[in-house]
Amino acid sequence: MAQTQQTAPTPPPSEQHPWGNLHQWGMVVDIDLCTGCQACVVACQAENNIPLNDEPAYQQRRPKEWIRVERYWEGEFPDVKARFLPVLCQHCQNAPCEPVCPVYATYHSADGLNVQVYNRCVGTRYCGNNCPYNVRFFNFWEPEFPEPLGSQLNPDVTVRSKGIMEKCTFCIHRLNRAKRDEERTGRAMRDGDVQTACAQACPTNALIFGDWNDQNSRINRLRNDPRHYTMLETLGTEPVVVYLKKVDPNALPEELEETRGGGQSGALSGS
Amino acid sequence: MQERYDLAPAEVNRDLLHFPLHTPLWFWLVIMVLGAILGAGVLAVTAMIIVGLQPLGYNNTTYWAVLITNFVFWVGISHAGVMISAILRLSQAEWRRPVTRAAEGLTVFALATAAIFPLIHAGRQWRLVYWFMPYDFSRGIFPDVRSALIWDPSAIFTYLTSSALFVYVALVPDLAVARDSTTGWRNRFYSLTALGFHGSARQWRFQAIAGILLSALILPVFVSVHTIVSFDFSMALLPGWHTTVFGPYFVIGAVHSGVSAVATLMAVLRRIFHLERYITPDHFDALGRLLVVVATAWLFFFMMDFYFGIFMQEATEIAVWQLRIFQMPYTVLFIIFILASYVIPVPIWLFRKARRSIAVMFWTSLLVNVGMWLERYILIVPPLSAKQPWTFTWNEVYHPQPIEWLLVLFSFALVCSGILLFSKIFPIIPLFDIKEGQILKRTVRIGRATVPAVIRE
Amino acid sequence: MALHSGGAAPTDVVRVTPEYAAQDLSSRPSRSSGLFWIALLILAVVGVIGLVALVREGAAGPEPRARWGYIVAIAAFIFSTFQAAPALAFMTRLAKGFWGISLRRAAELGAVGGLVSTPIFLVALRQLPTWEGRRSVWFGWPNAPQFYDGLFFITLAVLGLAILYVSCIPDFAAMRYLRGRGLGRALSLGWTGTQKQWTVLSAGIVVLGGLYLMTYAVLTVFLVSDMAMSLVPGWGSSVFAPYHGVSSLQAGIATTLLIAGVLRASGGMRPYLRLDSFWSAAKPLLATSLLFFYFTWMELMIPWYGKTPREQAMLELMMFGPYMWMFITAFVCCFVLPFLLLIWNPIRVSIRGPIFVAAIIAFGIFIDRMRIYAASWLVSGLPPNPPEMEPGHLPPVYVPALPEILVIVGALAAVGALYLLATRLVPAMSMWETQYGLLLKVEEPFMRTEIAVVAKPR
Repeated sequence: MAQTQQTAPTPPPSEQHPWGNLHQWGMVVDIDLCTGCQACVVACQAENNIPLNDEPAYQQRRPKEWIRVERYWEGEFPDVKARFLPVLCQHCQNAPCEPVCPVYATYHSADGLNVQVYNRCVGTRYCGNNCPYNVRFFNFWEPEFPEPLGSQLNPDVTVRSKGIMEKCTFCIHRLNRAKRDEERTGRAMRDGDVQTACAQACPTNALIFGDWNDQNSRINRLRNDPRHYTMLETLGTEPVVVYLKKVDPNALPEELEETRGGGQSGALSGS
Repeated sequence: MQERYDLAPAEVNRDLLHFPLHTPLWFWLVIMVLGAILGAGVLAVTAMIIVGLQPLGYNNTTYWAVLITNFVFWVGISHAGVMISAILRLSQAEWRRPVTRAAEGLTVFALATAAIFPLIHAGRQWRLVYWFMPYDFSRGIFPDVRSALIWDPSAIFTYLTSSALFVYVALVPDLAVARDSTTGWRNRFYSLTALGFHGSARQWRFQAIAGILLSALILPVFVSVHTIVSFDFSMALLPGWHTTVFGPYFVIGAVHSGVSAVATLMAVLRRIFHLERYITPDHFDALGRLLVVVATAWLFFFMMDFYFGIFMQEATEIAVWQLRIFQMPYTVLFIIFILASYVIPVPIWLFRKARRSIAVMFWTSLLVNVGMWLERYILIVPPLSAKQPWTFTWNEVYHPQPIEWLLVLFSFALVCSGILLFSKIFPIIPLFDIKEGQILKRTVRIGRATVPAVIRE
Repeated sequence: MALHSGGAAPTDVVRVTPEYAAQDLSSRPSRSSGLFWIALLILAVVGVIGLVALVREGAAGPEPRARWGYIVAIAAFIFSTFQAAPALAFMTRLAKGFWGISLRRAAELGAVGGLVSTPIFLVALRQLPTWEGRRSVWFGWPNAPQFYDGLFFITLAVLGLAILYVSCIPDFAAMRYLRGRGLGRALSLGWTGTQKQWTVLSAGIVVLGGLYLMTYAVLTVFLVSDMAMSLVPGWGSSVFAPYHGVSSLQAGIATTLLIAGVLRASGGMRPYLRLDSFWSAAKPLLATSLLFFYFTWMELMIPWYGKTPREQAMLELMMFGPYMWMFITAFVCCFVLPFLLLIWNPIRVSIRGPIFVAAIIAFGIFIDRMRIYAASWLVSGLPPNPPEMEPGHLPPVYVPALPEILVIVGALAAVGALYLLATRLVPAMSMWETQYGLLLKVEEPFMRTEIAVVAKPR
């Protein structure tokens, strides 16, 4: 298919920053490795003090899953296959959620993150409407952590009250801690030093977090993989999360020739 | 045939000031009922502030639904005032005379009611000052002018201010008459508000010029307000929202529902205040003809939205239209909407006899507004449910909760009580306009026929 | 307050009465000056040259397709100006305004533009690229769009001429009565002006006018989608057809004013076209200029805010890339200048002012139509699905060559020639409506001034 090959996001040139060299955080998600185990979802819930998604939450269609694993069924019985697609905030460089917030509660930071400012948010929810990936969540109620779950909360992460939008932050508290460690020890961050909770928990290393600005980072090496694409390219959101297509070993020879890398999981790859 | 009644100025004063000066029993009963609904609404809003937005039906993808529909609906209705007062005043249409103040009053109260809704359904209502006040209340950050939600309050408050001014400028001569017809505390109130108007040539000239200037200046506001409300939707990337025709489509829809609301209002006022000699079938005839033109233009814009939505043959946009038309319960809502907004009323309005029947006009105009409320709902909610084909959103149909319907009822009660109280304090039919119409009346003899005429200003 | 209706300038010494109108106007078609014949000759010759050029272009085939953009543009310009005028005449009838009376016939005569634009459109329809895999409003129906578009173009032209004819019947009858037999008078169909005939005529004009307006609106949608939007990858703007329609309304008013200016200057219609007509037409001219801005803003703002690559490429092609200067010129001429000029009372409340502004607007619409269709046909070779346009990679602009210029100039000249010919048949001022207006609008003294009393029969 003669489609415009979407290259991995081009980070802006780094400037001198009081904390050190500027990073451009990003992620690579290798769908070929994803088994759909949802360890990333659990890790994210635990790390970021996300309230319990109990049955009423699901029945009201209001569960908060900052990273969710979408499941697509392919084929007819008995050749049915499940395809998994982890979806998290894409931290788009051209984020549709940013210009629509009336109070600047969401903005793009210098290190490439789409930042949500909890104490500024008045909860108009326009950002949630405009996000095409549906990765923004609104707190419809005051969160409750029945004992002893209160003891498990992460002290580095704010517990959001009712009326506020929240979403994946690329574990910004971990990034901030890594920067403080840099200052304290004088040793620069290396690729792999800081990990988001989901990437850390993934048993198959399908989620790889890194710095696009670091030429030697793992994600930069994966950028050249011919399987790469970004989700919903036609919307022009320019995500910093790059996906690698699944290789389907059962694909027919013609399909294999046509699409280098084989079949794709989900309807949301490419255009 | 044209019915033109000969109305002496004293008669006009007596008839039109009757309700402000005398209070019938039904007034207190209606106030009590409306007050009860308003109280319930205030309780509901308080509950939303204390408990959070959990009682509403909103969910992870559908973050805006019934309350925003209601907001757009009332902003739409508020466009009647300018359409009738300003445009008809500038084009010197005689039939506007009894209708202008009721339409302007409807505008002001509809707008004020509409403005409440985005405010109460924010997540943290106590921090609203970050949003609509153009000042850096915290950390030196001003509101973000890139957002359509900032253009909204600017447009609505501008419109509210200019409509209020418009009503007031047109009210001043009547307040002077009221002042001269009353004693006691009423006299003190009317003296204060009449601003010393005593009908000199100079004052009349200023009042007329002010009216014309405001009419001309409010026209751009009229077009831009609902366009800016439409920007809330068309600036977003959602298929079904991101379409260029929303600006004019919303405006013409606003005129459609607004003028219908004025027709409803006039029918009600005529009945409860016994204004048969002031609001005649002629006025409904003219309103009906205007509505046919406006409704057809609205249908054209709706067809543009539909046609060019599916023209691009994009799967996501077609999915939204399929949801709107073929999925229950949106199918039923869609059919009701099309029938109620155009297919039933407009063919009825093509017939003179139907246009001149007050009952027919009342019911058809009410039907139009039912259809237009549904139109806003169908426009806003399905695209939110079907943004992109993700599997784990499972949100095809939105379920509104009772508290949302209570708030919708609250908005109707708010507008009704606003207009009722307004007509209790100020005469709802402009006295000076009626008297001016009497002075400008003439007849012309052409051959053997005597044709009613009017002095062209 | 001072009265402005009528507003006789000091040089207008002729007071029009129904009898004067009848005598003067019925003799106009047979009283043509030398200037008239010279103009007709020149325009006819240029028109024929244009026709020959069109035939040769048609024979030369579709490639390079970009040149057809200019040819379609001039047909669309005629569609927007002369063919929009009868729709406006109908709207003034609906609004029952007296100011429109003196302009109505001149507007309805614009239907002759249909005789020029329709052949051009029919030829251009055959040059469209294949419909395989293209977006269209026709859902893959057989022979779409040539058959259906062609049908609508022909219908519009026929309806326009029908409206013109029906509204001329009483005038033909009057000319037969006053001037004896002749070709035009034979067309009066034995009209005698009974009550029943008048009722049928009025109803007929309203029905035909309504049909014309609806056909015009629908045809606008088909024209912009088939001849412009379908050709441009990634362009699916729903406001564009209304934009085209509203700017056509503006152009129609402007054209009518320009024709009225010519009629007043050298057509001998000075006593009929007084300040009132021009001043009252200036108000909708101002309103439609503001609407031009409004619709252009919709077309621009929403794709610009959306920032998707397809929208950005479309904006670059149509507004901010190679055709930027045309866009700016059209915007200035259709909105900025008319707005700034018409809000100023001395210009709006005058005769020359609205005419001057109308000329600016006509020029602006001309440039605008060129921009739209030339840009669309420039990229018409690109496959639209999936979109192949990328920001920064547009084909080079095609500059019109002599054949296209001949067609453009020839088409305009042909319309002018046909218009002049039509005025040989029927006066460019409606006799019966002028008399009707004079009967219903009486000027009488009131206190210390003179007022106009306007009768409103139901």
